[in-house]
Amino acid sequence: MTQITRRAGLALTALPLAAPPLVGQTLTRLRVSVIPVTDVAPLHAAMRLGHFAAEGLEIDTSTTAGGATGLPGLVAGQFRVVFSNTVSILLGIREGLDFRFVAGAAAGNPAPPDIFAILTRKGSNIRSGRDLEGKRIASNTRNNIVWLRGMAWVEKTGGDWRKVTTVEVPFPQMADALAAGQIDAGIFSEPFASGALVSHGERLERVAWPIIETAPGATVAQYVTMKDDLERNGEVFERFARGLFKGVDWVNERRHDPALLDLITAFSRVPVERLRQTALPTYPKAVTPAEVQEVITTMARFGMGGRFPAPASLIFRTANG
Amino acid sequence: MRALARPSSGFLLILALLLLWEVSARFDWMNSPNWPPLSVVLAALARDSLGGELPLLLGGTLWRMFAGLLAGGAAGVIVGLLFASLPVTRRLFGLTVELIRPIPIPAIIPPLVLFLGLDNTMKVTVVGLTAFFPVLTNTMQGVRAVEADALAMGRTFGIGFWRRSLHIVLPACLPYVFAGFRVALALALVVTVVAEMIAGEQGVGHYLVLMQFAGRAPEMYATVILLAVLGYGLNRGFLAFERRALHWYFALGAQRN
Amino acid sequence: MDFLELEGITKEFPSRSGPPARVMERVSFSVREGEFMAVLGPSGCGKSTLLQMAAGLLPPSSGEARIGGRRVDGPPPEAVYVFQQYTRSLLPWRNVRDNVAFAVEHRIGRRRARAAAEVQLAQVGLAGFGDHFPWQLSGGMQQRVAIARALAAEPALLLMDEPFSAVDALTRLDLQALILDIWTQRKLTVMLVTHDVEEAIYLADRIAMLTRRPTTLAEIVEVGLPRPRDPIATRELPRFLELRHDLLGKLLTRHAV
Repeated sequence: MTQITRRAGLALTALPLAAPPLVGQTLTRLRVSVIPVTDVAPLHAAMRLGHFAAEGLEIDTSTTAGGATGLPGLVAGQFRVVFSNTVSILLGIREGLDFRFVAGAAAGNPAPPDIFAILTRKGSNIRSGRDLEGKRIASNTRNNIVWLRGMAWVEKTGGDWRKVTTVEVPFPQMADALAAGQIDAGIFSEPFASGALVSHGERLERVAWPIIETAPGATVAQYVTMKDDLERNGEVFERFARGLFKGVDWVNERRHDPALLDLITAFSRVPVERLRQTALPTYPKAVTPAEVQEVITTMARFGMGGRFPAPASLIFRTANG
Repeated sequence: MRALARPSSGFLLILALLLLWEVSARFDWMNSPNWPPLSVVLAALARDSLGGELPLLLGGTLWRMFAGLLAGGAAGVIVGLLFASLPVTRRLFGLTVELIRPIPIPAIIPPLVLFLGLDNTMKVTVVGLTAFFPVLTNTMQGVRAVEADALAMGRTFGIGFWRRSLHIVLPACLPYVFAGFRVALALALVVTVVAEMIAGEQGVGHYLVLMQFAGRAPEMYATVILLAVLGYGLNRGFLAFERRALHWYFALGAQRN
Repeated sequence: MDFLELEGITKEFPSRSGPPARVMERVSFSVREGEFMAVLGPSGCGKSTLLQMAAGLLPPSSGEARIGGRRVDGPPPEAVYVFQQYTRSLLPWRNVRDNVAFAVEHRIGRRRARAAAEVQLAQVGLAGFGDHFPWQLSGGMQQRVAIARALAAEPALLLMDEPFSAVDALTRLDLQALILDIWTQRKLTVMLVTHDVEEAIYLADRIAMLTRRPTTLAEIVEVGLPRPRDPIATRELPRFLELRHDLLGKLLTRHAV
């Protein structure tokens, strides 16, 4: 069935056909867990353009909307590579799981529009973290990067994050929940932030870009794999990173090009007209010790502290930029 | 079908609810783009059905559902027969079964991924586990309801244990086994779709979540309608099959009444 | 020559509290080869229990039953038990032919068993009813099916447990005539349990009278009526009336105590 979904997706896109894969070479199959968001556009671009096939790799993506099975699946050997948010990765590492960064994936933008936004109801007069004390804020999950960036904003704008109640609401339901008054604010990621403003524009408004206001351009997500696998098959992951980075280049050259939106539509099924209003993330190749340390430091401020290995030791050579 | 043709009150209620759906969405009573009119949903349903995407996904979902239902149901019948006819097996395994039974199966899908992966093996296992228990319980009840005289009849003609099990106990339990399967069938469709929603990239369940995340409410509700109709159709089909397979049982019931 | 011998048969059933309940106390008597023996006793006296022990369906607590000189230890091939409740011992999912064939198909295969079934059905007056299901027939016809099934196994000894108690009076006369015919033609040995005094006198060569619980053998009565017997004339003979008076009196006394 995965084949069918993807083929249906292919039919929707008008991309130039892929470069011919190496003939007569058996491809190494690599199963990658992804989430259907704009962050993974470079991976899909590299697949579509044949950059992985050229490296002798066959990438088999497994899209899980919630992402709940990604990192557990990596530990269990279901996946060789997992796209995940930095906080979830680091929490796994804190618990002794040997995740290693093989490539960067997504980060915030240095200036608006950014990929995370905090939305409130018009007329509710909630403008800051202080206003949110005793109120309810929605995050798609607690203890992930969305929540962390949201709490950092609450603190930065004078609120005590412990006095703000976090409610877990899936992104697709967040705008309705906010408009209906079940929550007082929501930490949205794209394309849900722009989507909410289009569909509920007369009732909702954006009050903040939390990453820009707390740590502009800070990291959001990476590709990780298991340390054991890297030690045994490091060369496979070098090929993976080479292919992926060509996809990153392709995407970065076309940030407002219809071809990129067609690509994203094909795997995420988000209509092109909505994507036109969507902010895309920054697509880095590398993972730096400083950006990992920033997340570790921030996590410690919001109840997720602990002992972590030195960030540099968590980054595989492919992600050294 | 006859019931559908007759304008019974039940059918009218459904029509009224569908009409309320259309009207409430047209006039935006819900104040949300996530509540599209029925007509838009039906158009999406037609588009995705004719395009071939939904039928193919549905085929995969049904395949997984039936594989799990048959495997889990068959295991339920066999274990049920064993538990009921050989008390020692029940003493050995009964507690294990009773401890697993109350676990809400969808809740253990993420850890099951660790052992069984994301694809058919995991999903068929999950559906099989779901189907196993109602069939097991009903089979055991069925064995207890087998006439002692029928069993003694088998013995007086010198018919051995296995043949008695196959030709007396099993057919006599079948009405109970079918009742178990009817419950299992309804659960199996739900659990298959839930498993597909949680893990992997397969079937109607995954499509449902993908459409939800893509903000495509009409497609999402189209899938929900499709599942409702499918569930109804499966149940009706099963009842018809049951009536044929157990014609003697229904004839006996009619006689008693 | 004695064909069925019961020697010192005692039966106890475990009781939930206290010592086991003794329902039968050292019952001993024999049935000669080719003889028609009736067992008569007040209801609830354990007549059926005794018959089941003779058939090897129930082990005695002490004492033993012998058939053809061999100790009964499980259902013996020479004996077939005919149940009181034909609705419980006939298989409702099999048609009449296949119900009869069931007695022997495990020995001679389904095809030959079906051919044999047709012969037996003709013998009991049910030629042409093979395709019917038991529940489509009257009670009397169903008991004929059960008799045909017993005959299909070609037993030397027929153990009948109040076989005519569930049918109306006229049908009972028919079935009694039928069983006498078969007994004569096939030179069977029959032990028939009944609480109907007239039935016992009309059918049997001898009558074993049992007491109330704990059941013991009270006496054995020689019937001494000429054969062939006639459903009307035999019942008007002075010896018949005398026996009826005598046995009914004893039965009533024992019942009252």
